[in-house]
Amino acid sequence: MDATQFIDLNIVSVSFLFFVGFIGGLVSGFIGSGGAFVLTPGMMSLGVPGTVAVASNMCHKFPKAMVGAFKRFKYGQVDIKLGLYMAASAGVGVQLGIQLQHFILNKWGAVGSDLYVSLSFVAILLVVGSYVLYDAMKSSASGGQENVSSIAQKLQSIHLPPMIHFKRANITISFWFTVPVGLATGMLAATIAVGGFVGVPGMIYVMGVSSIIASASELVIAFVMGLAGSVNWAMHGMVDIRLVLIILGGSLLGVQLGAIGTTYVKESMIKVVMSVLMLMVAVSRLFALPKYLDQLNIMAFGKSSIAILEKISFVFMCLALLVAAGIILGGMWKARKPAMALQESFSQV
Amino acid sequence: MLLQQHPNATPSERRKILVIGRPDGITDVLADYAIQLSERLEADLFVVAILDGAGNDDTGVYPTVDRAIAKETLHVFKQRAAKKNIRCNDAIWEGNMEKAAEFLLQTVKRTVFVLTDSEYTKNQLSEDITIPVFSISTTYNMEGATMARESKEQRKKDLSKTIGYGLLSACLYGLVFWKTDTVMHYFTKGGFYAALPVATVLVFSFAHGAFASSLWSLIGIKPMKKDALQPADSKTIGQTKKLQKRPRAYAYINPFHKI
Repeated sequence: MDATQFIDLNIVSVSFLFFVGFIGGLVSGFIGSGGAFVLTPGMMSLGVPGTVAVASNMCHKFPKAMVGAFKRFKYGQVDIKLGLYMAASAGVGVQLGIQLQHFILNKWGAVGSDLYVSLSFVAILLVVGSYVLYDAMKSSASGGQENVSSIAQKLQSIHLPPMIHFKRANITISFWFTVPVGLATGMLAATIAVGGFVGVPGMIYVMGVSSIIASASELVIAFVMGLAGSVNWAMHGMVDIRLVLIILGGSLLGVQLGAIGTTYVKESMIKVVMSVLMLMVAVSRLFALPKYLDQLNIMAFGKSSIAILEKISFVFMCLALLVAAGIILGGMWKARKPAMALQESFSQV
Repeated sequence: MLLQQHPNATPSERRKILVIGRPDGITDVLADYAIQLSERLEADLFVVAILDGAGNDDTGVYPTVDRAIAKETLHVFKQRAAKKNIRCNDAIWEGNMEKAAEFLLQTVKRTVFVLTDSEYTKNQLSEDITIPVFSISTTYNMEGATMARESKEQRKKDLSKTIGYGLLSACLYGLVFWKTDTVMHYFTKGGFYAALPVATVLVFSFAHGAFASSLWSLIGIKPMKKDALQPADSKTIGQTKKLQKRPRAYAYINPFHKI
C-alpha cells in the first residue's frame, strides 16, 4: 500500500472527523445506520481516497454498532435472531461487494472508484429516501401509527419452507425472502458502507418488521458484517487507524445518545430522520459528481465551476448533519418536556 | 387563548390540576412536575393524600401517625407551591380511592386533569373518572423516602466511572498518536497484521464506550421509561366517548318501517 494514500492530520481535520463521527454515531444509534452516510464523503472531502475512506469507515463502524446494539438490546429493541439471519446473507453480499469494488479500482483507478461510490450514493439515497419520506408522512398523518406494508403481508402469507419466526420482531416469514434483503444490504455496505439504507427499509417494507426493531437489529447486522469487512480491508492494509480512532472518539458518544433518543420519540420519527438525511446527502453528492466526470473526461466542466459545486456539496452535507442532529435532539428535548405537549393538547380543547 | 385564566376568575372558577399522592409522601418528581406544569398552564393545584389502607387494618381505623405524615406531606407541598406563587388547596381523604376521585371531581370544580404516581392510582382512577389521568413514574422507596440518596450515590458512581474510563481512554489515544508512524507502518502491512487494527478498535470501544455511557448518565441523559408519562389508557377515552354520545331523536314518516 502506498503511504501517500494516508493524509496528514491537523487540528481542523481532527475536529471535523470527531464532529462528523459524533453526528454519524448519533444518527446510527437512532436509525441503525447512517454514520457512514456522512463519514465516507466527509473523509473524501478531506482528500482521503474512496477505498481508504470506505475501509476506515467500516473499521470504525463495527465497534460502534456493537456498542449501539448492546445499548438498544438493553431497551428491548433488538431481535438478535433477525440480526444474525440477515447478517449471514449480508456477509455473502459484503464479499460480492468487495470483489466489485476491487474490480472497479483496478479497471478505472481511484477517480473511477470515487465516481462509482458517489453514483451509488445518489441513486440509492434518492429512490429509497423518497419512498421512506412518503411513508413517514403517511404515518405522521395517521398519528404516527405504523402499518405493515401490503408486500410484507403478502410475503408473510406465502409458506415457502423453511419458515422462520422472529420472536421480538413478532413476524414469521420464509427464509428465502430474508436472503435478498440481506444480500442487498451486504453489497451496499461493502461498496459505500451504508448497507442500512437498504437493510432497514428492506426489513420494514419487505419483511414487515417495525421501524424500531428494524433499526435496532440493523446494528447487529452492521456489527457482524462490519467486522468481516474490516478484517478483509485490514488484510489489504487499507485501514487508517488514526482516522478510525478519531471518528470512534465522537461516534461512541453519539451512538449512545442516539440509542437513548429512541426511547424518547415515536417510531415514525426514525423514518423521518432516515428519509430527510438520505435525500439531503443525495443532493449533496449530486453536486460532487461533475468533478469525477470531468476527471474521467466524460464531461467537461470548468475548474471554477467544479470548485463552486464542491462547495455547494459540502454545505449541503453540513446542512444534512445539522438537520439530523436537530431532528433527533429536538425530538428528545420535546419528549423531555411533556408539559409542552400537554399544553398543546389543552390549547386544542 | 383558551389556556389563559380569566383575570377576574374566582377561586372556584379557576382551572385546577388534581394531584393525588400517597399518605406517606409525595415524591419530589411528582411535586416538581405538578408545580412546573401548573405554572406553565396557569392553573391552580389541589393536592390530596389518600389514606386508603396504608396502616388501615380490619378495624377501619386510620392510625394517627399516617394522618400526621399526610398532613406534613401536604404542608411541604403547599410551601413549595407558595414559593412559586401558585394557589394550592389540600385535603386528606380517608377511605376508598374510587369514591375519593368521584367526590373530588364533583366538589373541586374545573379540574382539568389528574396527576399521580403511576404505580399507585393510575389503573384504579382510569376506571372511575372521565378526565385524563397522567401518571408520573418515580423510583419510590416504600419506607417513605425518595431515592434521592440512591441517586446521589449513582451520581458519585457515574463520576468515578467517567473519570476512570476517561483516563484509560485518554491513555490509549496517547499511546497510538505518540508513535503514530510506527503504528501506521505495522497497521497497514496487511495479512496477519490485520489483527492489529481490529483488536485496537475493540479495546478502544470498550474503554471509550464505557466512558461515553457514564458521561451521558452523569449529565443526566438516561433512557426514558415507557411509563414515565402516560395518559391513562383507552378505558378513560372510551368512557369519555360513551358519555359524550348524545341521544338522538328519530322521526319516521312510516311508523311501520321496521316491520
